[in-house]
Amino acid sequence: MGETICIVSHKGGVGKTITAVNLAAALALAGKRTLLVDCDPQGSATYIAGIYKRKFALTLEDGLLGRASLNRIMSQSCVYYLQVIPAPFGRTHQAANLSSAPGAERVLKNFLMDDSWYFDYIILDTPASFGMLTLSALAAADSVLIPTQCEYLAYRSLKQTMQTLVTVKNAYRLSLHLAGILFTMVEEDARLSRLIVRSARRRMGGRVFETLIPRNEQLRESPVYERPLVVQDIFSVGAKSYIALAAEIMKRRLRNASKPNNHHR
Amino acid sequence: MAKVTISNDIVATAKKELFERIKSNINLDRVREICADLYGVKDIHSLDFKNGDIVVHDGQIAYKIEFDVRFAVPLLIDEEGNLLGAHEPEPEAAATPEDRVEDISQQTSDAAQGF
Repeated sequence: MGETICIVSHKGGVGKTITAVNLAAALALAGKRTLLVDCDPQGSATYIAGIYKRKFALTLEDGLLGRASLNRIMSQSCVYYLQVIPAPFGRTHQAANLSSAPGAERVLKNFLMDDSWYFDYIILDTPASFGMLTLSALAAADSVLIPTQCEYLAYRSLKQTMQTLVTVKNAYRLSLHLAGILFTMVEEDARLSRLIVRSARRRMGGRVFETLIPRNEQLRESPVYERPLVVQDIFSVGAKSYIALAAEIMKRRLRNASKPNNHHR
Repeated sequence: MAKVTISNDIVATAKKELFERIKSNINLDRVREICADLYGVKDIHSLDFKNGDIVVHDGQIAYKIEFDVRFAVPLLIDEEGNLLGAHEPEPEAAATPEDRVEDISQQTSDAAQGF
């Protein structure tokens, strides 16, 4: 059975979507059957995955409303093993209305359930707000990956994100684990960046990914090319860092699989 | 020689008006600085004009102004009222970036225990 990882953060601009797309592409390049689900109505992940220009009639919204199955909605990306569920572009009202029904937070989980066995990894990209779509993504996920920009104010907001996630997990009784905290836009030459990473590792140990995503011009530019950086320039510093992250995630999963009753920790 | 008599009330009123004008021109921040320099009084709660007089200083006319200065003096005394000394508040240690980051890390770590 595959692992569903929700990329989530309270704060915008921390590299959620870049992380979701490049991580998904890196896992796919490693031969893992991967599904990227774009839960953000802005559709940035759909765009960067390179399927934006194609004519796809169906989006995540159709899946959430039970109008189409996953097989009909998913679209092949530029990476062989990577499939994408396009975002419900701007049409969130109907999806939001689902929240009034009891158990509505499980709608994405139910949608993915029938076909999720096929995938080794399902990566869920979420909006910055904690609305219905984010809640659905959390309910569908096995674990959460929290990208955090490696600077003071973003680091401060990490506590709030963590508290919110724990509150949601408990309120909805979700079996959600922390995949890890991922530092993005790291400037290794900057004293504060080093300070934050060192302190986080000292206090939180294995909850912080070893991989650091550097502040990188190519990563910032990558959306322009409508393809993940790991595809656009696999030898770039940014691409290598996401490949390292994918390797770390696969390694952790192997390690966890060998530890019964200690799933995902 | 003609003798002019001026009512005491007129003198008092003129003097009062003069000191009102002087008072409005006094830089109270400078007075606080003088209190700190001359008397070591720093935490002044209030500074009020009390009275003033015209004096001769070094052959020149000057205005002597008196202020009521209120400030708290924290003292340490025992149960019998004996003075043990003055209580000086410990200066607040300025939080360093290291301290602040460490605090956030600890709080985030605590929050992450919920997983």
